[in-house]
Amino acid sequence: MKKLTLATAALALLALPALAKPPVEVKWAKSWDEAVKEAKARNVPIMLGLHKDG
Amino acid sequence: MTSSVYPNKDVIAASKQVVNIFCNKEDSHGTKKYGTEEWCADNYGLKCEDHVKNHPEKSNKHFPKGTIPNPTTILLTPDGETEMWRKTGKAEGKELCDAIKEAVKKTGAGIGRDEYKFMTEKLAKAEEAFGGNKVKDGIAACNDVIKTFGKMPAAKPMIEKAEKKLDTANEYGREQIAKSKELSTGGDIEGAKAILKEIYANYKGLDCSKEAEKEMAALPKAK
Repeated sequence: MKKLTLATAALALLALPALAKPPVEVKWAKSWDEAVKEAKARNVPIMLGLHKDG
Repeated sequence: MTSSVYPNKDVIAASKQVVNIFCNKEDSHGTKKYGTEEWCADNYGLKCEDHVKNHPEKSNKHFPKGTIPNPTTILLTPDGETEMWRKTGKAEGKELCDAIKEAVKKTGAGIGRDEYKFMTEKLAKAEEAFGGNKVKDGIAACNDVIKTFGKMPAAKPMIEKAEKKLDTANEYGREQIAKSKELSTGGDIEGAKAILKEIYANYKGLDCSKEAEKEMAALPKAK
């Protein structure tokens, strides 16, 4: 039982870096002000996507 | 586009060279865990309430006559004022990647999303460390930014922020050295030594550490 607990703890520790890794997705800014602030700081264009579902 | 274009690995890579903002009036996507973060189930980085709020704000600006063709993708200058490219209808992956590449080229040297994240996180860590009197960690975080991105022209403002933090720490170290001199002059050699030892040990990499080392060697022996 003790061995199993230790093994589980070890597995959980190994999994931590994977959880901490940022997801591989397009990341969207929360607001327009935030987007402009970051775009200016990075000197990069802004991509604006206007959508509706379906 | 949400299900076919944005998940494309080339689009994801290209999206890191710009800042992305998503506008959609639907508020029923629910939430999803992305690692340790929780966002809109369909859109990473914001919640439904955020993209709902963004929609009228941006629609009114870019479609003043009212009719909004969905989807529409627009690339804008960093200040958000000038359109560089617009596509009404679905933008295919390659078309979008090419448009982003062209807009990035026109904008000039910039900082990618991952590099920017690294720098902002390190600078925040430095701020926290200096504030919490963990000077060694603060110096290390600032040096990480300077050493990693010192030669990147677009990173100059971030490098300057890191250098300024180091300058402030160095200045504080020197003030402490001056304080130790006052103690030494007043005969408190042990007090002066304690200050100098602390500056020497915790401010390594800064000039004040070397200066503290010299001052320690020059201290008269305590009686």
